[in-house]
Amino acid sequence: MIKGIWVEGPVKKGVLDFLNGLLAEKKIKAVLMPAKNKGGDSYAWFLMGKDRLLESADPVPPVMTTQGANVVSYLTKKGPVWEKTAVLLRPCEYRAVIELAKIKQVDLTNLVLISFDCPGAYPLEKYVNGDPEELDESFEVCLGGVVELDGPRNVCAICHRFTGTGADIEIGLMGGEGKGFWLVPGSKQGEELLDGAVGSESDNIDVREKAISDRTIARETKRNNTLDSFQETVMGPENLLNTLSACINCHNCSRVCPICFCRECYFDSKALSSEADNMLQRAQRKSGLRLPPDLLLFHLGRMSHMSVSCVSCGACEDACPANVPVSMLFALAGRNTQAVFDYEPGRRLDEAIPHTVFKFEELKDFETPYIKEYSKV
Amino acid sequence: MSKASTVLIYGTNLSGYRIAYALGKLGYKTVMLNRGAYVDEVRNQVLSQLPFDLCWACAYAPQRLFVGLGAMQIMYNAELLELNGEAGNFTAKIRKRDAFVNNYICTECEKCVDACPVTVEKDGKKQKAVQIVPKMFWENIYLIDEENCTQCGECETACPTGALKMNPPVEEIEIEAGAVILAPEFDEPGKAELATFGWGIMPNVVKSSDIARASLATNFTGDSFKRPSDGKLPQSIAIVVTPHFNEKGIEYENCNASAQAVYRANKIKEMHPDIDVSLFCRDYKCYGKGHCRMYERAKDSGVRVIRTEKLALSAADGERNRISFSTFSTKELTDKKTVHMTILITGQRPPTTMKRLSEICGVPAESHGFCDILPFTCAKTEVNGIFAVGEFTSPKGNPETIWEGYGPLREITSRLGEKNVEKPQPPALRNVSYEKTRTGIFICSCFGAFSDKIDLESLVNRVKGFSHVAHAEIINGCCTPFSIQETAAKIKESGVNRVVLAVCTPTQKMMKFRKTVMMAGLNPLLSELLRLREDVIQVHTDPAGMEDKAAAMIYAAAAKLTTAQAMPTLMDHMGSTVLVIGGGASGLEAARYLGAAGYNVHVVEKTDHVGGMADFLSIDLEGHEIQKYMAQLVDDIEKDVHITVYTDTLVSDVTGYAGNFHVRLETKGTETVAVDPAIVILATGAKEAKPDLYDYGKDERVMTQLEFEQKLANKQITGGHVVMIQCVGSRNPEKPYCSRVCCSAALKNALILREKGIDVTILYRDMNTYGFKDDYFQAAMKKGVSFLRFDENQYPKLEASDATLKIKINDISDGKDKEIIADYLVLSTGMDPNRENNEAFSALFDLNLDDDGFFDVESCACPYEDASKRIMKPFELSSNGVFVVGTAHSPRSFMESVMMARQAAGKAMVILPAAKMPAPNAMYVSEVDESKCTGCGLCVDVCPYHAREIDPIRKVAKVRPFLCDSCGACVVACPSSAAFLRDQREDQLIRSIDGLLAV
Amino acid sequence: MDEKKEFTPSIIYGLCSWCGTGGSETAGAMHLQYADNIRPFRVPCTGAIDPVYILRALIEGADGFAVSGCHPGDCHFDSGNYRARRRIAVLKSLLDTFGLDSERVLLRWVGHGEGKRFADTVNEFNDYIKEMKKNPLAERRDT
Repeated sequence: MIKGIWVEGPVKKGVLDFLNGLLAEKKIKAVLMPAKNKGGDSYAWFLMGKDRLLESADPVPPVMTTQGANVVSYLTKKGPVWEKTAVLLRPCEYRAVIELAKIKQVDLTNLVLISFDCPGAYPLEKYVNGDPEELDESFEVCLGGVVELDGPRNVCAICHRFTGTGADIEIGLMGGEGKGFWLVPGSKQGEELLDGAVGSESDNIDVREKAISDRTIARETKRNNTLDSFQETVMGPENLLNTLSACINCHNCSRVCPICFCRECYFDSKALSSEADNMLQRAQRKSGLRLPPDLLLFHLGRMSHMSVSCVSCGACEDACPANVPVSMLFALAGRNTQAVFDYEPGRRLDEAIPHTVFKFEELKDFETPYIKEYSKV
Repeated sequence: MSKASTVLIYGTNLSGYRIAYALGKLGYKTVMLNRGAYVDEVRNQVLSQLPFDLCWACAYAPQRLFVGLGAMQIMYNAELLELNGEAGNFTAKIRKRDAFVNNYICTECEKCVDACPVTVEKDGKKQKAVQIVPKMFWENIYLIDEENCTQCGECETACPTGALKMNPPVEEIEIEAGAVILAPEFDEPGKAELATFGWGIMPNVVKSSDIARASLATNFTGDSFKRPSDGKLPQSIAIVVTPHFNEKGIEYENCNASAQAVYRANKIKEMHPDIDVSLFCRDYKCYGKGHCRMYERAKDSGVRVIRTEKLALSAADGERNRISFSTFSTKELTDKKTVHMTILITGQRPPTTMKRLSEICGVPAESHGFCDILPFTCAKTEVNGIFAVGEFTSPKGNPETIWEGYGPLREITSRLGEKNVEKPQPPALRNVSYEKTRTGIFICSCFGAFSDKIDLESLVNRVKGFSHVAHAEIINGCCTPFSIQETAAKIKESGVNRVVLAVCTPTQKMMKFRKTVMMAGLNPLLSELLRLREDVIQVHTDPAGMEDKAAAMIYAAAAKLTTAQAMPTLMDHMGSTVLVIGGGASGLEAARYLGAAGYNVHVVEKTDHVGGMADFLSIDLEGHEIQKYMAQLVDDIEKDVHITVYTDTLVSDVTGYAGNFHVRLETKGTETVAVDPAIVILATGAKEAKPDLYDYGKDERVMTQLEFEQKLANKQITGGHVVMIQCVGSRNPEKPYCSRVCCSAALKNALILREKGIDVTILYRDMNTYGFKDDYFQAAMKKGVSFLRFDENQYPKLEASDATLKIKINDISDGKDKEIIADYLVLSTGMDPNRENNEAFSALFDLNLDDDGFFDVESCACPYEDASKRIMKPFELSSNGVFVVGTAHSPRSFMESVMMARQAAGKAMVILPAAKMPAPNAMYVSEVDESKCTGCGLCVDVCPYHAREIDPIRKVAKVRPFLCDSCGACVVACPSSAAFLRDQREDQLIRSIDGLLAV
Repeated sequence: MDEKKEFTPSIIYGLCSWCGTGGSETAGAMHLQYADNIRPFRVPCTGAIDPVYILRALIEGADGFAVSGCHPGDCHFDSGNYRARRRIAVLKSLLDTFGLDSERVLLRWVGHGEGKRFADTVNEFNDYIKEMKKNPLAERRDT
C-alpha cells in the first residue's frame, strides 16, 4: 500500500478538488458532508451527487452540528447505499459510525469513509452566537497541527484520538503546517480511490506521524489530568447531584447522542412512568422527591447502558440547554468502564461490544469471594 | 385379544426413568418398581459414576411430572414376584409397600417431626424417629426410622393432610403390561472385597459413592473433602482405581473407573490446589469425549499419576494410610506413600437381582453376570417384549445410560395397545383485559403450620391496606389435590383478576400453583408466586421482622402485577419430515428406524453410494458380521417407501429452525430439491487418520489398521510377523484424544492372525479395552499374541531396510531396550474428524465444533466439560432440532455408532408426533415491541438459544418462541425496552423494586 | 449512644430462578437463620438483571444490593452469569467513578445446594452494610 499522497496548497480547496475529481471520474457517485448554510453561521449535512459539490461544502468544519454518525445511520439504517458514496467525518464521528455498524444502525456497504486530523471544534453555541468569520479564520490557522485551537469544546481539548485511523482515506493535516495535506489510504478501497489522485507520492509522511505521536502523548497526559481533576469535583453524592442539579430532564443529550440509537430511550419509556401513588411513596421515604423524577437514574443508567461505546464526541454537551458538563461526565465514565474490558469504541469493526461477549476467566475482582469465617470490616 | 398399553419398569436406573419419560410423552402409562423406600435411595451410587459431580435432579425431575399427570406410577418397596404371558399381554404379580408418606399430598410442613416424641442420636446428630431425608433439597422425603419408632401414632395424628400412614400394608397386586423393562441399578463391590483396601477398617478410606454427594459441584464450599476421622481437610489424598488392583481380576469393571478417578482428582485440585493428590492406576481408559484432555489437565494441575500393577494399603498411624506400590519394572512393593485420606474408585458389578430376574422372566445372563442383550439390538433380551437397559446390561457411564432410554422406544411401542394417557385439557381462561386491576393476596397457612410461626391475620389486615390490593385471605394450601380445588374456588369467588400466592418453593411446586391459578380461570401471567415458607417462616424468628418482610414481598408482587398482561401459550407449526445427512451406517440406521415408524426421511449422501466407512469393515471384535448387517440395512432402506436416498448430493442452503427447517439439496447434474425437515440428523462420519510417521506412505509394508484389515479379508496376509503400534499420532498434544476403536481393531486382527498361526506383537501405551472388550485382551494373551508396553514419552522407533523392518522399543515391564523384526508394521492411527465437512455444516446450521474438531453437543462451553445440559441433550447440538450421531460426534465403534443412531432416532420419535409445538415455557416467552425495536441485533448476539433473529426486511427482531427459554438475556441486552419477557415487562420490574423498598 | 445497632439496612437480594433461588430454598429447608431485612428480588437469570434495577434500588433507598446466581459454568441458561458479571463490572466501575460506594453492590455465586453459603452471604453483607452506614443517596430528595 502506498503511504500517502502529498497535495500542496490550501487544505479545504484541495480536499474538495480531490472529491470533485472522484465524482467526475465516477469513482464515487455521491458525497455526504457538511456545508455552510446560506446565513453563514452554521453547518448542515448534505448528500451531494450530481456533478459537483456545493460551493459551501466544508470538509473540516469548525463546529459539529449534527453528529455525522447520526446522519450516516439515517442514510443507511434501512439498507445500504446502492452506489459508492464518500462520507467526510470527524474522527469521533468516524468512530461512532464504526460502533453503529456493529449494531446494524449503519450499513457500511458502498460507503467510503474519509476522516481527517481533527483540530477540534468550537462549542456550537459559541459559533452560532459569535462572529463566524473571525472564528473560521482562527480555526483555519490550526489546520496544520502547529497551533492548538483556541476555546474548543471541553472534550476536544482533551481528545487523544484526533486522527481518523481506520478510515478508508485519512486526510493528513498534522505536520503539513497548512501548506498542504496528505491523502493516506487506510484500506484497499481507499487505495484504489487514491490511484490517479493529483499530488506527489510522499516520502515525508513521517513528519505527520511524528506530529501525531507528539500530540497524542501530550493529549493523553492532559486528558488524564483533566479528567482526574474533574472527577474530584463530581465525586460523592453531594458533588455529583450538584453538578447535575441544573438538568431540566429534557434528555436532549441522549437524543443527539449517536450511540444512543434507541427509538425510544428506556428512560423515556413507561418503565419509569409510575402512578402518583408510587411517587408519593418515594417522596415520603426520601422526605421529598424532585420532579420530574429520575434525574440521577437517567444519567447513571444511560452510562451503564452505553458508556463503554462513548466516543467522547461532545454532541451531548452542545445540546444541553442547562450547561451540565455531560460530555465530561461521559468522558470520565467511558474512560473507566472501557478500561474494564480494554475496549476502545470505534477502534476496529471486529472488536465486539463488551456486552455481547464474555470470557470464562475474567473480572474476578468484581466477584466477592466466599470465605467461611468472614471477618467484619 | 387386545394388547395391554402399560409398560412395567423394574428398577430405577436413569435409563428406566428416561423410558418412562419418553413413553409418557408418547401417551403410554408406565409403572415403575422401586425396590427402595424412596426415590433417592440409589442416587449416591449413580452420582459416583461419570460424569460425577452433578446432582442429577435434572435426570430424574422431568419424569416426576408424569406422576402428577397420572402417566407414571412409582411403587415403593416393590418386588416382582411372577411374570406370565407374552409380549403385549404380560401379567406381573407384584408385592409392594407404599411409602410412609404420600409425597403428593404431603405439604412438608414438618408437623410430624415436631410431634414425634422419640429422639435418637445418629452420626453425632440428633434426629427424630420421623425424619427428613435431606439429601437433595428438591423434594424432601419423610421416612420413619422403623428401628426406633415406638408406634405411638403422634405423627399420623399430627399430619394435617393424611399423607402420613404409619403402617402401610404389604400388598400383592397384579398388573397387565404390554412390555417389561428391566432397569435395575448396578451393584458396588462387597464389603469384604473393599476391606482388602482398608475400607471399613481404616477410618480415612472412603469409596467414591461415600463422597459423591458431599462433593457435588454445587456443594463446593471448601469443606467437601472432610476427613472422616476428624472432619478436617486432608492435606494429601490418594485416589485408587480399585478394579486395577482387584485380586479377582474383574477387568470389565474398569469401564470408566480410571476416567472417574482423574475427574475426581481434577475436582479436588480445582477446589484445593494445595492438596497433594496422587492417583494410582494401571491403565488410563479414556474412551469418552474429552477424557484425554481431562488426563492432561490433571497432570498439568499437579496431580501425581502413579502407574503401577501392584498396590497395598496399610495404616500408617491412627489416621493416615500408607500405600505401598510397585513400578511396572520392580514388581515388588518397593515404593511407599503416606496420605491423610484415600478415595477408592469402585467399578460396577452385575446386579444381584440378575439371578432372580432370570428365573422370573426367563432372560439369561451373559458370561459376566449382566443381562444378555441380542447383538445389534437396542436392549432386546431373548424374551420377546422384555427389554433390559442401563447398567443392568453392562457397566457404563451415566450419559450412555440416559441415551439408552431412547433406543428401544419403537420396539417397545410396537408391542403395546392403544395409547392410554391423555393430556389433560387446560381450563378455559377468563378475558380480563377490559377489567380494572383487582389484585387478590392468598396467603398459605400450610394447614395451620405457618400460623404457629407468624401472625397471618395481622399480615392479611396489613396487606389489605396496600393501594394495589383488592382482596386478601388465608388459604390452607394449594399443593394437594383438595387444597388446589379449594384455593381455586376461593380465587374465583373473590372476583379478583390478579393473584399473589404467598406459598412455598415455587421451583418445586410451580406447576401446581399455576394450575390453581388456571383453574380459577386466570392466565398464570396474572399471578405471582412467593416463597413465604423458605423466605420467611423457615429462616427468621422475629415476628415483626417476619411480617415486614412478608408484607414487602407481597407489596412488591402486587405492584408488579398492576401492569401484568394475559397472553396465550404460543404454538408453532411442526413438520414431521426428517433429514439425515450422511449415508453411512449411522445415518442409514436412523433413517430405517424413523422410516419404520412412519416418518418421511430424506437421506443425503455426498458420494455416489451409501455405506460410508462400514465398507471397509468385515467383522467387529465381538465377531458380529458387519457386511451382512449392512446388506440387510441397505435392503430395508430400499424397500421402505418413506425413505428417499439422494446420492451425489450436497446440502447447499439451510434456513429455519427446529420443527421448521428449509434445506436445499443439490444433486450432481439435476435440479436442486427443497425439503422442509422438522429434525436433522447429522451423521457425516469421520475418517481414518493417515500419519506422516513410521515411513507410512513410503514403505508398502507399513499400513494403517484399516488397510491391513482389508488385506487380511482379501487373504493377502499369509505369514510372517505382524507388529502393531497403538496410539500412533494420537493422545499427544496435537491430537489429545483417544479414538476408542483402535485397540479393539488391533485385537480383532491379532486374533484372526493367531487363528492362522501368524505371529503378532502389539506395542501399546494403554490397552483401551473398556468393559467386556477386555475379555479379548485376555484371550489374545492366551492365544499367544505378544504385548509389549512402552512409555508415552518413548515411542518405538522404526529402522527399515529393503530386507527387514526393525522396530526398537523400550519395554516398560523390565526397562530393557528390545528389537523386533517385522514383516508388516500396522499402525493404529485412530480417527480424524472430517474437518472440512464439519466446518461447512457448523456454518450451515450454526453449530459449534469441539476442541478436537468433532461436533460439540452444547453451545455451553463451560469449564466442566460434562455439564448437565450436555448429558440431558446428548445428541442435540447448540441449535435445537439437530442431532449428531456416529463418528461425527466422537470416535466410536460400528456397533456403538448404530446404537447411537437409534437412540437419537428414538428421541426424534418422541418429538415428531406433535403437529404443533408449544413454547417450552408456554406463555412465558420473550417478545419484541416492534415500535421500539431498531433491529440492532444485540439481543440476537446474546441469545444462547438462537431464539432471535432480525427480520431482514422490516429490520426488527423476531422471536422463535419454540427456542426461547425465557432467560432474559435479550431484555438486558436491549438498551431500550423493545425486548421484554411477558412476565417481567420493563414497568413491572421497576415497580417491583420500588415495592420491596416500600415497606 | 450506639447508632450502628439501631441502623437496620434495607437490602435487596437479586436471585436467579435456578441456583440463587435454589440456595435460598436450601437455606430454608435447612432452617438456617439470617437477617430478616433482606428482600428477595427474583429474575430468571443473573444475566437478566439490568444494572438499572440496581441503580434504581440504590437511588430509591436501598442500602445494598446483592446478586447471586449459578456458579460460572453452571448457568441454567448457558452463559447468563458471565454476562451478568460484565454488567456488574460496568456498574461497579461507574459507582466507583462517582464515589457512590460500589461495595454496596455484591456479586457472589451461590449454588442450588449451598444453603449455608446463601445464609452466610446475607449475614456477611448485612454486617458489612451496617458498618458502611446508611446509603447517602437514600436520603437525598434531589435525585
